[in-house]
Amino acid sequence: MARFSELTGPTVPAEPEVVTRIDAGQRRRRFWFRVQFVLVWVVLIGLLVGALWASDKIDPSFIGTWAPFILAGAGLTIIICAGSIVLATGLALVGAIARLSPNPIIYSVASLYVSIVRGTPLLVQIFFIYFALPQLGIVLPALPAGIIALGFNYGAYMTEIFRAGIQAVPRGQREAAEALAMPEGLVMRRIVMPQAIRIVVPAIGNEFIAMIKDSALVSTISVTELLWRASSVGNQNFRTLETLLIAALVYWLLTMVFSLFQERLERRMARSDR
Amino acid sequence: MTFRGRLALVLGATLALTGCNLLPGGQVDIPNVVCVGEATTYLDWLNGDLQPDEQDPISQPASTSGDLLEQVRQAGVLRISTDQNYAPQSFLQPDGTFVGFDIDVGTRIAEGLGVDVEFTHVDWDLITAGNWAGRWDISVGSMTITTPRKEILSFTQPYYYTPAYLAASTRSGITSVDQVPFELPTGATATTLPTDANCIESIQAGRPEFDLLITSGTVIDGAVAAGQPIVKIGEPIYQENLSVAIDKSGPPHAALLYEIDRIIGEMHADGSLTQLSQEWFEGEDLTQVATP
Amino acid sequence: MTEPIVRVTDLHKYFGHLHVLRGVDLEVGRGEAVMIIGRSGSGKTTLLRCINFLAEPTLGAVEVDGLRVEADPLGRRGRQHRGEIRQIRLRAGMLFQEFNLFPHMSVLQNLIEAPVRVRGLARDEAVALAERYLAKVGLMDKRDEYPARLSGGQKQRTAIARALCMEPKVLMFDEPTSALDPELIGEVLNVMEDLAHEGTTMIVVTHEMHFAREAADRVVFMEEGQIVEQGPPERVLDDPQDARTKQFLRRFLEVGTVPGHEEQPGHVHKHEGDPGHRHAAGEPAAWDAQTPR
Repeated sequence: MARFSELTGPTVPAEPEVVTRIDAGQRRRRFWFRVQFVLVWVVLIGLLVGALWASDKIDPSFIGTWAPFILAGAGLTIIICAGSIVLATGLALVGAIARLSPNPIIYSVASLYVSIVRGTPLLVQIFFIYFALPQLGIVLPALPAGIIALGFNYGAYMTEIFRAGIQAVPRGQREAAEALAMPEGLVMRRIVMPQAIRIVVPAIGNEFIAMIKDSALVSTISVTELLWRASSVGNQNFRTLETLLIAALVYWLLTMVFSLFQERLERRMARSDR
Repeated sequence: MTFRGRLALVLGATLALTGCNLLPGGQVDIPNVVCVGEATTYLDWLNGDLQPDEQDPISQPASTSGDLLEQVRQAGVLRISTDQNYAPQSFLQPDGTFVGFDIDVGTRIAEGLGVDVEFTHVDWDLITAGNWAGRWDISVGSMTITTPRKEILSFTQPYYYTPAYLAASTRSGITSVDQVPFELPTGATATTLPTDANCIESIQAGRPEFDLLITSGTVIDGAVAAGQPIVKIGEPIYQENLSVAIDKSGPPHAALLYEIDRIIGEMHADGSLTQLSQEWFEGEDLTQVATP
Repeated sequence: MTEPIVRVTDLHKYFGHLHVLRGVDLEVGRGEAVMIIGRSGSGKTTLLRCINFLAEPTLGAVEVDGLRVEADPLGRRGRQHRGEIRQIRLRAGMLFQEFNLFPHMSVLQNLIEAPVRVRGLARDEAVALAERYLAKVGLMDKRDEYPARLSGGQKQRTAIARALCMEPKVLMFDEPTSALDPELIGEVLNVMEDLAHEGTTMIVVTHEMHFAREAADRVVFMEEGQIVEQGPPERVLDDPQDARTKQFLRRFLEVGTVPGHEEQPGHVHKHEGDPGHRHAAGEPAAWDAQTPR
């Protein structure tokens, strides 16, 4: 049999059958892997739910009565996250550029912001904005206070992520843009930032997922979001197991959905980079 | 012994010790701990410094200009703070609204002032601490008048009275005060949870840290009716005068205080308070001063 | 002689205490194709980068198309200096060893970005311009592709088209083929040689001796930050006068064919284990720790 590498010319022979079979085998394996993955999840979760059901400790009618009220809190959770994300991203973009600034004043202010906010617990910051500021004459309602606290907090962490992203853009990109006589603003806006953002999408996505969970902390200042409702209803009716399970489930679903979006985004970016 | 043998021994001992602590105890060690809500008069009583008091005299001010009353009328809404977990005075419904005795009283007060009402959920210790920063206007939350509280809050006349009771978990087997194996209040250690309702929940969850709690009679009755494993024991420890409160560090409010006091007086007189009380407290009328 | 397009006067560049350019004087006339050769570390890349002020010279002056800018290493002239640098860059285009195409934009977008946003061209004007130059470098079919899908040779040709779209007075090439696989070098060299034959003013730093013989009007040999010898390629390459030039050429000229181009001795591909290539590959070399302007 002639060696495959020696076969050139106008007629290219068909692939040997074994290649097709290898490919099919790989696809089959992948498919069954995924099937088993889903099955295991279903079984494990089913076992857990079944055990709870059988133990008769869970009251399904209670869940039915209160679930709508508790789940409605998820809407407020999403609003809180959306507001905080916008605030945090804005702060982070400005902060990242400030942290890269040669101007000592701008750099120092940004560094102080990052240091203080990253160095104190988020819960302390939430309490501070809601409880302590009134002593200075600044009284904020609970919802804005929560959004501001979350946004400020995550803004500091995201500042560092964006800064690292900007620094990760190859220097040659900036030089090419400058060699084309682009002024600094254009270089940053059109060339460096877009690439920096693509670099940090995975890290930023993780921050958003963390924020979904940290939003639960604003329940401590009476924002009637998901955890506040679950906790109130549960305490009041002495059924915290049901209500907290509901809340945990919703947070889990929210983060899973977001993770899926992020994965898809990352895959799409990877495709266009290939 | 081999390394594996020693490891097994240590792990086994740890598991055994943990297991022993987790298993429901055979009983009957009753800790000398009593559970109360934070910032409640029940805690004061346990600590031996309860100072029940009456409201200061209330007189109609000369003018209402600059008063909180005007602000409320201008805003068209009276903002009332509630504790969202204090059945049957104030508690959540599945549709998200709040109902309860305090809720109804607060609503009637707003009606009397000619404005809408808005309830804000706040932790109890924040309400009793004063310094509301203008986040809400008044508290209708079954607050007992005490001397220390009068320094930071202004009180109206009481709108009802409840006795404070001791309650015990059913598992402890205690049904009367003489069965309590330690001196009250001197021999008791107080443990606090955010609200007295939480104390009941804790017992229901089977936590072993305490078997006794103190709360208002209405709360105990409500819990027992809901099937919670506690019993009311003994006579009332003391009577509470429960009133509407306004933050003294807020804007001037002499006129508002006078108005609300007047409305409460009217509600006493025309029987509406009695009616509400019977509605919420199993037919009992708690709006009369209890005869000792 | 008509005014030179580029005139470098007594240019010095220090990186910290390292004296990399030691008083370079160079003139490039209109339509001249000047090729600069030399060891890595000889300062040839630094010279190029000083001409368009990607590196700020320490002493001396640079003149492009009549616009003269003096070195401002202490930043005394601030905004004014930034303005004149931008004017220089409008007149002197640059090609990089790593191509530096903008990966988040298509080929066409890469080409029209600067003409539209810097030169202020209308979009259709810029597109027409871009298509003209894309055709010139033979890449019209790649118009809407993204750089990641191009081969190295295609990337560099795109970069050349991008630089041409700014219609500069002089094009500077910083080792344009050093990062290319041998079989791709030819397509880029062909474009460069065509440009040279058409009369484009160019300064090329390269090791490709083929370009020297085919297209260069002048070869400049640099060593240790100074121009040692310069002249027509036949003279400098075949009959060098200076001992250092002789030594460099002898060491450098190892035989290796460049596939797809022509059978010529000459290109040594990443031969020296040189720190210069570290710089070229995008990592900062020791002397690149500059303060941002």
